[in-house]
Amino acid sequence: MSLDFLIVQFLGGLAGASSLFLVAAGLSIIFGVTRVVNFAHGTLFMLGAYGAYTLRETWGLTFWLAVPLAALGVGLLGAALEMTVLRRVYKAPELFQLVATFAIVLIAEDLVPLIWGPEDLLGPRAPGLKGAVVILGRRVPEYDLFLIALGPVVLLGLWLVFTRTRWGLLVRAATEDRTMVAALGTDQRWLFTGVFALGSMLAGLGGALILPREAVHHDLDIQIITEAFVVVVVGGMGSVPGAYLAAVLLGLVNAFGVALFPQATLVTMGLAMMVILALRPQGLLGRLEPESAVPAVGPGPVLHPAGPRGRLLWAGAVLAGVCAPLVLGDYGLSVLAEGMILALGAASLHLLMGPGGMISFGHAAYFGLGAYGAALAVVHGGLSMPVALVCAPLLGGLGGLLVGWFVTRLSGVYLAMLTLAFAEIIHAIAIQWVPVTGGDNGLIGLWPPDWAADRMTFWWMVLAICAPALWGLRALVFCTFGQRLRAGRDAPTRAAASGLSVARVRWMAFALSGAFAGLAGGLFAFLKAGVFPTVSGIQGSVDFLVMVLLGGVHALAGPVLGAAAYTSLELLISTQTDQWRLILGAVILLIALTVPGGLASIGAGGRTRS
Amino acid sequence: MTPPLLQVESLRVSFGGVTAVDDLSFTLETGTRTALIGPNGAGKSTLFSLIGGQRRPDGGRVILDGRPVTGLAPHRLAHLGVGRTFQIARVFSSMTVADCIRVPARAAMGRSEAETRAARLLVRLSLDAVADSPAHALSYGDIKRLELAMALAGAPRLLLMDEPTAGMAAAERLAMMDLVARVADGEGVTILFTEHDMDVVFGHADRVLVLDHGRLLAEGTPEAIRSDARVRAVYLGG
Repeated sequence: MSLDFLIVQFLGGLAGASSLFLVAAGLSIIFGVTRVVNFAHGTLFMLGAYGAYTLRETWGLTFWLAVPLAALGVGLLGAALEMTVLRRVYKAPELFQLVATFAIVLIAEDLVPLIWGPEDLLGPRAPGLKGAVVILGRRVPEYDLFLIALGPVVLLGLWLVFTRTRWGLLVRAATEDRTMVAALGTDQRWLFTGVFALGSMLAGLGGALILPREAVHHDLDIQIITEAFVVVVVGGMGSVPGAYLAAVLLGLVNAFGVALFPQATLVTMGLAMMVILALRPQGLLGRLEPESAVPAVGPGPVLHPAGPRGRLLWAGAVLAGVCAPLVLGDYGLSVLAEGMILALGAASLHLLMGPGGMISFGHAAYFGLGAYGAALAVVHGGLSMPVALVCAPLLGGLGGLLVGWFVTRLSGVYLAMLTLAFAEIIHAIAIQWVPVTGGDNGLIGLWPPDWAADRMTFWWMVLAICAPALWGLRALVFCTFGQRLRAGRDAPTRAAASGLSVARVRWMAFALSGAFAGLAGGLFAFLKAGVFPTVSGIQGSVDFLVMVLLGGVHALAGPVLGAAAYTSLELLISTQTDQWRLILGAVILLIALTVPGGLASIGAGGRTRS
Repeated sequence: MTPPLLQVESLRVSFGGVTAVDDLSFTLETGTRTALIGPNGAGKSTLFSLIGGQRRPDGGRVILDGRPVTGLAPHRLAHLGVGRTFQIARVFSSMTVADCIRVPARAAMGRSEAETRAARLLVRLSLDAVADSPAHALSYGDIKRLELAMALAGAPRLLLMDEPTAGMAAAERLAMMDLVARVADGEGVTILFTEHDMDVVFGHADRVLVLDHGRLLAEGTPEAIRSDARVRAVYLGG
């Protein structure tokens, strides 16, 4: 390996890190002050890129004017979003803001192609920086050098704002202790709006600046949000210098990873993250907050086993399921089976979130492990469907066991972020371990055997597996294990002092949850007759999260209701219009704003809302 | 001769340059009730968290029943017979009062035994009337008593109580400590408690440890402590 190669990779890594740092810094600042995990941050980044493109290409402004204007515009948009949407859901329980920001992502995903078209857009090169500098015989673009310099400049600028202005002081105080700022008599609302505007502006700036380096496309949002999350977690939640350090570190790991292990770039990133977080769970420059400061999910209401009416309702639902083939055709039964499978997946996540008080941002990983477990058993092992459906929960459960061991040493949002990191690794393996997983082409030909080949029998099989599994998850919550899990959620220190190993109980919950998700994934693989890496992607994880939150974290029927509502809404709207994400997003937003306790709280007469 | 239930030897911990507990040694004999007093910031709560396993000491040893238990996790200590209550009472707020007691009882013993014990504690701590209420709906005094019941549920041999009567009116305080004394005597539980109310201390402890700046300033019977000049100087205000 020659020196010039090292230097070029090093500079490339640094240049890539700058944009990422801008987005991650914004995300980190917003989280630090408002405690909102902003899923729409990638969307703001993308809008920055598109905005700068329009200002430059349509309005004819110079690139150097288009970039700051686009950033400013995105900043204003962020402020508007904060005032119209987030301000109404700050007080909502249990990360419900996440649902609102996810709705914004959905809406933008449809609006952007409507406005800018579906094709990739190639931006202009930066005037004055079109050339390249020769370093050790290699050409390095001038624009890359500009980006490398920009990172520290922005870091310095933010440092000045946070240390030298009264506003910055308040922001830091709010990051340290939110209640104190309210006590100081500052209008918290404007502080939050300002922070949101600043964070959004940084995202917009990061987006606008990629124009000379990369094509702009409408999948930028999901791509960047994952990377930004990873950077924020590795750097330490709420720490801007940490975000810079992490962006640079991961940028370098990525640059060298591409050159040295081209088959496993994503895995290299994931492993780097895993090692850092295993050594420093709070991230490079983050502080580990006392567990009471970051409760992801607070204590819930008292849970009761279903009464006679509830049991009748469940029995009626199962009976209706058994009779469904009388009314529904093949297509309808497929949809029903999919809804049922997703409900099991959501219910497995609910075990962690509701009774466990732990949020998993990466639950699709276990669903995906199950799907691949079943597919590998059939494709590589030549095993039959029933055996494959045993392999699915085994692999999902093993995944839960492994990931759970790492993440249950943390709590709150830190734990949640770590689950995302692991999910990314599992997703990356699915994409990059081509000989085994088939890479992006997936594994296909997973047909159910003849006896279950027709949709009616297959549906009955799904029902016969999912209904008892759902009942089992419910029973778990009430047994000794579930009580201990809830005790650990309500008062971890008290539970430990009472002889309960909270970490162990949580670890077991991860393994169990992984197994149930894996079972759902296995069924899903046979329903779709194949597996693709997307089953384990962040989109799937977010879908499960939204289902649980829509249904209500603290209601046992929540995940089933949420999955039913989410899938039927998606189906209903997507058959009517191509812009189904737009409508779905609007509906979810409406639910988030009007029923913050989740759908199950409507039936409960708002009891769970307090 | 039986060894003392708890021996603390040269225990030391500091955070960020401040030595919170400094070379502290004392012993607790089985069946005794000892009060730990000292001004705010003397290191009382820190000492509790060192014995209870919530915090690891930088040095020194904690010995329970002749067996070193330094730095063990809280749940392991609980299984060895250490129970505790917290300065700010914590209960399982999403459970009924009865379940709050049942869960820790089940962690320590078999199902039927745990049921019996939980039912008895409900009655002994006068919580039977609210047994089926959600714990989060209880009044402050009831929560304090519920937490005590939860700490006792695992049948501890050593009970650490961090300000068991904080925030209570004078009459309530004495009633609470009378209750503790009755239960403790009945089960032979050894008690270490912190308390600000001197009436409670002198009325309910048979021994007093005085902590100041993380060090043991004095120890002895309540009478001896009351007349100790050093204690009067730093704590009792002359």
